[in-house]
Amino acid sequence: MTELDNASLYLYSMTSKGVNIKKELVKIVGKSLNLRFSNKVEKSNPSKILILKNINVFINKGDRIGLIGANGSGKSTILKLISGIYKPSIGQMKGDYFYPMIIRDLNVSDDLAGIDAAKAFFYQHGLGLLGYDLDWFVSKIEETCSIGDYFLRPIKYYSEGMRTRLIFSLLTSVRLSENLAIDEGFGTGDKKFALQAEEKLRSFLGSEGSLLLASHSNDLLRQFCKRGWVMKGGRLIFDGPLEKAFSFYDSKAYLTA
Amino acid sequence: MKKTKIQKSKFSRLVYQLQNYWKLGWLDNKARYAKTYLGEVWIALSVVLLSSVLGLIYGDIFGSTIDGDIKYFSYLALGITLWNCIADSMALGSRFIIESASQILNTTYSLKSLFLRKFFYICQNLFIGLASILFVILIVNKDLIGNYVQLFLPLSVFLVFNLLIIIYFSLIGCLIRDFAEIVPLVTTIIFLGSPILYPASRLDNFAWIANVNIPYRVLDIVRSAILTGEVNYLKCVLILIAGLILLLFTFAYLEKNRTKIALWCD
Repeated sequence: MTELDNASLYLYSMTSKGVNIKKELVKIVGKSLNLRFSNKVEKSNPSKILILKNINVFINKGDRIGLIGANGSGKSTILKLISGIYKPSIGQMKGDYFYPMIIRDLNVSDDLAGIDAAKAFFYQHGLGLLGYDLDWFVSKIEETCSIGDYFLRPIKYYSEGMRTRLIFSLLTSVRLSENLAIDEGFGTGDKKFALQAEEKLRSFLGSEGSLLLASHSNDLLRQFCKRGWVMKGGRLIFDGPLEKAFSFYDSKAYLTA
Repeated sequence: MKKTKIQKSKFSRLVYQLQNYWKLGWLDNKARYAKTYLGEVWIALSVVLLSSVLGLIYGDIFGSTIDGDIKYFSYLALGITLWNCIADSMALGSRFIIESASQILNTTYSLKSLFLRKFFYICQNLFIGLASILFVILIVNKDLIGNYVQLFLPLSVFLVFNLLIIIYFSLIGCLIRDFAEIVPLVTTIIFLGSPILYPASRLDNFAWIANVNIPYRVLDIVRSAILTGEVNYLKCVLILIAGLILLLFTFAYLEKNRTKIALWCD
């Protein structure tokens, strides 16, 4: 059970160059010479941007929620908030965090092999403390990702599909949380893998696990979700059955919301 | 097979996690030397080669012994090995958060884990380099073996100092983008300005240069411990405690402001 209670999120951002010494020096020298500054220089100060506004939601055990919305509507940000990567600036989050499956990163250099990525995952998550054995984990990953000898070869030689298989195997081989937050599905993969992934994800979630899935693919959302959230401009503007969420997203009500 | 859940004390959990970060650091070292014929042997070889070549050249200028009976090679080799570690910490630190921003903003990995992984990567380079240099020094100057046993405390001070450098340089580096460009220049200036290549006694009236040079002074705590056997235990303990306290507060601050920090470099 997870609840966002009137949660808003501000992010603090700089210009693309952060604090620029040249600009700061110009400011200091300018101040000492009593010069006025243009707005351009003043804009380099950190700015507070409202990213999510007054989100009130309740996620029950076993809920499968599809996130719908245009690019920049706040889908990924709400996933990060619910995963604990961000903390609400206003309001609060109660209950269980979701495990984020957002980044397609293996946490090791591409010069290392899949087996090293499996070890890195094991070490990074401290799986030994949860009672898992390294050798057991590595052989499980090797078996489930089904990339054959490539498991022992450098990742840089992997196809996009092999990479996806490895990442998916790592993220679903051990249950780090009952709840998953997934951004944009699982990436590329062949039909066989897509079926395996679907089956794996269903068994991983079981009946108690909750899922938050952000995607632009209606088919993918239909495959896994029953409930839909529609996001716009950092606001949650619809929460209801998935099909109704699709209809809302395509309706005039969405445009005027 | 999956084992049953193990009950561990807080301390043993901490030790276990540190071991994990150490192994992650080793994977980074493995990646760095992937496809090379000599692999991690390069860490030892590069320090020994550099010290030998510079020792031959500068040994001619400063003499084979300095300040009594200290072999110049030992003085130089230790200086270079320890300085390389400080320079690596500064260079890697200054870019660290910028390069890790994607991981910080998309995973729940703690900043502490990311910093410690990088720190251990640097430690491993130091330990391999230092071990090989200490071995060579033993061949040149057998009398120093007794000093090796008291290395623990000075080396701990040195390592905590390096971890603090990585953290604080990374924070400055993500706030001020120009910082990462300045760091290589600054490290070169500090290296050439410090008594690392040349004996400290040659500074005469400019001894204050060494006194105000904090990285050099930390380096010298370790070097003096090995070469002269002089260890100011009280000073070392006090610095170590202060460093550890600062580290604890820094880690607490980092975790509290995790997202904000990563977004500084957005």
